[in-house]
Amino acid sequence: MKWLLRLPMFSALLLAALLLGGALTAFLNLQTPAKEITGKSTPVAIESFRFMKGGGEQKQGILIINQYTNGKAIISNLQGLENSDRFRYLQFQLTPAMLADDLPLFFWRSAKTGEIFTMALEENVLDHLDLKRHRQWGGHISEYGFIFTENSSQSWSLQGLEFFPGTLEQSWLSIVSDWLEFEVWSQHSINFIYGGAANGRLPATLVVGAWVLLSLLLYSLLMHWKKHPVNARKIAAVVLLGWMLLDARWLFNLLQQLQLTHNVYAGKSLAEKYESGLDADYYRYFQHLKKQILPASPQFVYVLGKKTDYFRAKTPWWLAPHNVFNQGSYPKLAYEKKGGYILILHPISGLEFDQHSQTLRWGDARLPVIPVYLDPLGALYKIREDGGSHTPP
Amino acid sequence: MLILAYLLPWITGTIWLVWLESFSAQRQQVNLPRAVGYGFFLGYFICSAAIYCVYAIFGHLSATMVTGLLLALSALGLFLSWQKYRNGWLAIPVKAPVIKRQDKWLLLLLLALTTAHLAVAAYDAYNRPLLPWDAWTTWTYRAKIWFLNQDLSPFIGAEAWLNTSNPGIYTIPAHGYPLIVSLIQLWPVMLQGQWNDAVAVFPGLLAGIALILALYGQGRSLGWPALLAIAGVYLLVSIPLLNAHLALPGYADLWLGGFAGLGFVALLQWSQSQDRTQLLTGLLFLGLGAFIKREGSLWLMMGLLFAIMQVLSWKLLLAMAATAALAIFSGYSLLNLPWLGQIGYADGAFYLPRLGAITLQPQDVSFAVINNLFSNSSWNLLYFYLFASLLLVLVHGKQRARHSALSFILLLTTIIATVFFLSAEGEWVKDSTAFGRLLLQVLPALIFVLLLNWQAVFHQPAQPREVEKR
Repeated sequence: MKWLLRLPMFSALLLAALLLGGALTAFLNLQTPAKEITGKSTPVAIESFRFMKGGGEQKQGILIINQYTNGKAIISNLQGLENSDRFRYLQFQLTPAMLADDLPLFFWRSAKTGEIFTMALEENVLDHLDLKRHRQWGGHISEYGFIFTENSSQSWSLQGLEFFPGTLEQSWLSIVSDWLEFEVWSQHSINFIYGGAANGRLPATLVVGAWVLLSLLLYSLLMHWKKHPVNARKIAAVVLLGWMLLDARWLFNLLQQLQLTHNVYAGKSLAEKYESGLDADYYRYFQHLKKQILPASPQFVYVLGKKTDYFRAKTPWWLAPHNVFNQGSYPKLAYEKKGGYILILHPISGLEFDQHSQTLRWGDARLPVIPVYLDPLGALYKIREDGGSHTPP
Repeated sequence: MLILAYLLPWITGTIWLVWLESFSAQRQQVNLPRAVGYGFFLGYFICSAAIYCVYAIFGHLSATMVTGLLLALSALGLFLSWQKYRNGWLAIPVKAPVIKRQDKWLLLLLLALTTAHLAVAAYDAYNRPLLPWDAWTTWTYRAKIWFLNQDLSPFIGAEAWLNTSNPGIYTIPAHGYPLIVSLIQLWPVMLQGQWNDAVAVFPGLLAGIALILALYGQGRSLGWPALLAIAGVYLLVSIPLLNAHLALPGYADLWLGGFAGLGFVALLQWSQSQDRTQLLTGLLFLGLGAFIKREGSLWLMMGLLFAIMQVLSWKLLLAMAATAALAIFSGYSLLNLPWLGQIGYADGAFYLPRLGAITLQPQDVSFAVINNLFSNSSWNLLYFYLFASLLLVLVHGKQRARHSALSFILLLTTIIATVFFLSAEGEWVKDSTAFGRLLLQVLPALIFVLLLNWQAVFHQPAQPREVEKR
């Protein structure tokens, strides 16, 4: 007890860590009871996977996926998994490490033959899946595998697959792994920062904040008990310690981001940067429209497509200084009066180009146009000036 | 040429800030970090206004004329400052602040971490093409159109656009957003003569440097130890959401953080030092903030209420609040201010100048708010510390600091509650798209309140440097 009073701040920090650690462990155990504290993992040989769709190759324990059929590649492990309840996490190494929230794990159980279940990666978690997120995970799994989508990347490498049991130790390791997950700059970064994995079970901010405040409360109580005044410098040190702990994690994230920025963009011209980014295909498409297809002087361009589509919203930026209107799913009467071009980025239900009458038709309405440039990424039509449109009121 | 583009508005603004500070009855020497920090934002505002005025008068964009105008304004500001200071000339301190020996390592660590944050953000801002959504749909998009057309093409609503055949008139959904931030982004590319995303938005990164200089200067002006002021700088620059806006510049929230955020810092400083120049600076910056983003009007209202709360007693304030409540229930609660528009409450809606009606529509956003403040990493531990420090200042704090800190947080909470808990805007909290950015606009003031509380609870009252007798 004497040492407790001799080093009051250190004791408070330690006590708070023990209390908080115990409380959080109990909380985790209540959420999903773990039968054991530790347990063995089960590695999965990469050779046990077969291509069901698409193709690729295997090299020294690495599975490379680089061929797609109708935009998909499916790898499957037909050996399945006995007593899958034993396992809570599936860990793996996936490269390139980029956002791939469209990479789902699929599995089906022998007990429910014919019904296939899927679960996608968490928004920014690229190295593990929490299998308990899916209610159907359990029992004998007859087959499982991954579905890759072509537009995520042309080539993926997968290795180091391993099932981990749902032990207490693994729960904590998974939480720490969530905290250290790399959070790449994306559209949400300007609005909020996750601080590791999206929807992590136990946010680091909450844990560190609770630890610091609890420590300071215990320290104050100890000093009150000793009838000594609190030491402002020590309090400041603990306040900064908590902040710096989280900042260290954030700086680590920023340094990874800096490395990524350096690798992808450093030393390149603006055009080369766009060609290196995630929007490269669309950038090339819009540059082609701007430089080769559209006249040099600013034109009216009406974009049709899904209302909230990212590329639709970005069309004015890439086609500037062309005068782009992107606020409608179907053509409007005023388009013909103003003249210009219609750009259709996605097939729109009910809107068709009629080759015979050279019109865009939807319902009873039509707009006279000439196809100018047709590409899988979008179709460009010029509004004919000879009129003949018919749009119902 | 680019260095000139980035520095000239900054220098102009700094000179005029020095002149403004010369009116302080309490000051002895120029608070350089504060003048440089506030001067940056004032200078870029002047620069934007100059671009607009030159275009309005001559009908075309001219980098040369704007440069000439800024140089002339700088010369005039220098002359006026020299006149005001000629008894003591511009006494710019060159001495480093006194640091206790045992504090030196901590100070170096804080400076190193501050530099690391700024350097990493600068590398991203310089190298990445434009990323954030509203930048390429609105703020920077307008600058790009203006630069490519070499004019200030107007942006109008969709319906009006469909009815015009003028190819020089454009449309965007947010066509009503103020022009200043887009003009700021236009300025460096105008001078460079070539469009480049990073060049256009890079002043956003410089705004981060200006924010920390201003915060440091204000802390030191109250006689706070250099270590505390530097700690405040580190806390500010290591806020992850601010880092994101520095590394991915292009949004207006960071700029409003300079105008509204630093405006509140100046008001808080005035509440402690009674330096009326800071009251004037605060209200000026909050007023300019109304031209940065629509929320600026909200902050201006809050600034005026804050200032009133500092000079009136609680009893009088309660009487005024009771009168306001009575007016609302009696139906006399909506005023029509000339040029500004309606202000007040009527028929289930609040009316604010430039913002229009905010219809009452209660929202259950408690979980989203708690998640934003305490659970995700946008703010590090800011709100844990802020609320803990408010509790401490209630119990132990000095009266003046307590009054300022509490009235600021009370007003801020009322605004947050009205906007997000009681109106349709609450939807923006649920998907976390606007809540964080609204708080970013007052972030410097939140850090300042935290330091104020610390100083009020743990330190003997220091003699403000500027109150020292000559």
